[in-house]
Amino acid sequence: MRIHYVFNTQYGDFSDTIILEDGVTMTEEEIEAEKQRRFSNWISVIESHSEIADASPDQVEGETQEVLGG
Amino acid sequence: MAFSDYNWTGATNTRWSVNTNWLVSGSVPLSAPTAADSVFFSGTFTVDLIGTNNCLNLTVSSGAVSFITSSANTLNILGSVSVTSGTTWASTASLVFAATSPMTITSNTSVFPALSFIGTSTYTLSGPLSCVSTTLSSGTITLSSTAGLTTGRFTSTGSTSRGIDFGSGGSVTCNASGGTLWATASLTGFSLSGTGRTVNISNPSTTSATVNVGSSGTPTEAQLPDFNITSGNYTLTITASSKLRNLNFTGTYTGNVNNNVLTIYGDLTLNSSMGLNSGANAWTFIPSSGNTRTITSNTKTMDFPVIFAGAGTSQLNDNMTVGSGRITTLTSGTLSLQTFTLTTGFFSSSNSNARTIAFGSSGSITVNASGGNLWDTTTLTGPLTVTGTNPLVSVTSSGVTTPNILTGAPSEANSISFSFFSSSASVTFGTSAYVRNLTVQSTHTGSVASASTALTVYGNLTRATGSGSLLPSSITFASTSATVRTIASGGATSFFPITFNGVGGSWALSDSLTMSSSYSLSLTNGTIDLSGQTLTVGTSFLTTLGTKALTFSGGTLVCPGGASAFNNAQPTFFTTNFGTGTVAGTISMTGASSTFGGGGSTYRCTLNYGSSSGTLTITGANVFDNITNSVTPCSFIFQAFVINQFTDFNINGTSGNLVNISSSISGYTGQLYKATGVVSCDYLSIIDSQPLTGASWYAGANSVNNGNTSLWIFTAPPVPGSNTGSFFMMF
Repeated sequence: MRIHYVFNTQYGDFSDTIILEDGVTMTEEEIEAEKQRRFSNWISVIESHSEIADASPDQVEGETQEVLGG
Repeated sequence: MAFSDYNWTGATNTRWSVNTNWLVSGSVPLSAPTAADSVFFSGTFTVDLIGTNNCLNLTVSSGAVSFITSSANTLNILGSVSVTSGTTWASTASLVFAATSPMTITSNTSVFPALSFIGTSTYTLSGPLSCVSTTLSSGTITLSSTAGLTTGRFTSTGSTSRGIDFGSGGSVTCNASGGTLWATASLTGFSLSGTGRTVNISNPSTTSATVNVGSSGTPTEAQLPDFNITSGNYTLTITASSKLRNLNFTGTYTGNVNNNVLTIYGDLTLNSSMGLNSGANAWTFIPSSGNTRTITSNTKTMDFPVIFAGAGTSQLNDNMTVGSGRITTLTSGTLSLQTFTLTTGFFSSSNSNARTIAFGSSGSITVNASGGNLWDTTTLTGPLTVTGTNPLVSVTSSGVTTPNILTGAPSEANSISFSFFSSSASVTFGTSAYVRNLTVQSTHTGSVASASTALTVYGNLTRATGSGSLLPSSITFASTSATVRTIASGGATSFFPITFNGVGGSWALSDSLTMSSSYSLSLTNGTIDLSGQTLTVGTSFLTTLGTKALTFSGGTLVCPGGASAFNNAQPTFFTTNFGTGTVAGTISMTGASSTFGGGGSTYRCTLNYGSSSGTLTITGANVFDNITNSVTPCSFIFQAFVINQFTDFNINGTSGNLVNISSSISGYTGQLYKATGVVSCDYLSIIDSQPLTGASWYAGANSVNNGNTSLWIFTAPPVPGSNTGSFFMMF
């Protein structure tokens, strides 16, 4: 299954897909946690280079999600 | 020499050697039969063969003769033998066939004693022959499909010319109760002919049995019979260094086979009820050139080393398992997997011989040792050719010691896919590794590759969510295939530089790809399609000399770096593509002091700047679909003297947070061009910026003109439909 989602930020869109192997499942909570983990990693990579200290939630302007199928 | 026909009378006693027991032409001969005399029996007699006796032909034409022996005996026969079915032989009797011209043996189901063939000529069985044992020292035994030899044991030693002609489907069956059933240690001078060439081993007891075939010397395949281990429950020893053609256990054999060094030229067929003892002695498969030999395991594990050699093809007929502590070696020839999986602790093919791994439509190899060089194809000269739809090696290891994969440097065509699963072990490669697809499944939680490995991927890279990290020193994607290769990082940050360098190759992101801030992405040859995902480079996005393209398909390229964040250093043959879908792609510059080195290329995307209070410098005479800013305040510096073209221009500040637009050289303009329509901005602070004739450029009522801004209009654009704007009304 492929779960596509987007976080809109000042740095541009963080557009990503969680791909689950056949036979592997995740709960909604696990999926949300995985999205947040990836997004946080991304923000920290950008900000470590961009020299912007604060990765406040305010910078996250919106999120969309699309399940692409399994 | 006179030739006489001796007729047995038994007039005196039962002894063959007594002359008065014979009549020759109605008279008692002066001596017992010699090797020149034929002997005849007609009637029911008992004949004692004690001592050494001789004859030419021996015929029992009627009746039932019992050949007994009360002590040591030998009957030398220089001619043919024909007996009735009622003829019996003492098991301790010894018949020696010593013909020097072709002869026949007709047993009519009479079970013969020990036979020894020492003559130089041929003995042809006219029907099935059973005997206690057979020793072939010279001459040829000729069989046929209706005239097989059943013997307790078969022995052939020495170097005299000798052999077995199996005719059309003849066979030898050895059925003694244990011990050495077949003994042909040396096959010098030994030959086989005919078809079938089958030896059946059928030990009716539980006593261990031994088969010895060419264990000394170097027989050719043509000298080797096929062996069928047909039945029994006993331990079978095939003498170390034996060579066999086909070895077949498809009967009801349920015993164990001891581990010895064996060479198999033909087919190997195991059965599911038998056992194979473990050991360190290799079985080597050596099919000859042009031959395809099969291995049918029937679920049995070969817990000993296996070697594929020869010049022909070794082909799996089902899944084959070699012990997890054992190595499978491909020395030469072809290993054909068809649709099956070879599972082995280690696999090695590192030599200079021509050899092939044929993966077929879905064949694969699984290596599963607890550590060490699980896969070793370091030396690929020869070459090592790889064929098949998806050449796949699956890797799992308990990691007692570090599992290592040594791929050598294969071409794309001869590359192999590796998939890591069910392991927490960290897997290393050599200093360089070349793979087709690289897959890290979710069940592999150890890292893959180390900082000492430069990794080249010709195919897809797939790292599952939650799996171990990829930690090579670099990855080069090198596909030259028209097939789009996919890249899925599974949400992991890449701590290594990435290069795309495959002429004609193309890659699509399956998910976002984020590089750590220390590493750059180089695009040399091929096309990267962001496919709606976000690609975040570290130090820079860099183009180098080659034919390359960047396709957005709604995706975003994020460049957080500084002076070389986006560096189109080799714009020749660099293109960008809008891609699929209707959503425009974006290049998002996020560094506090970023440079977009456009190199004068056309960018089928939006260029966005997103670093608050930062500065984006744009160099090159580029063409953009759009330009935007997602933060205020910020600054845009356009290279002086060059023209940047836009389909849309959407840079705006906010109240109290103006966005600066200037040029790279004070006093000289950076030039902007939009062909038609209206550019509508506001809250800008502009200096040294010159739109060219084309669209109308409105800086907005809240923007500041700092000079050298010809053709910027520092008002809001007219409201469409109103007459308060700066439109000429033509009547």
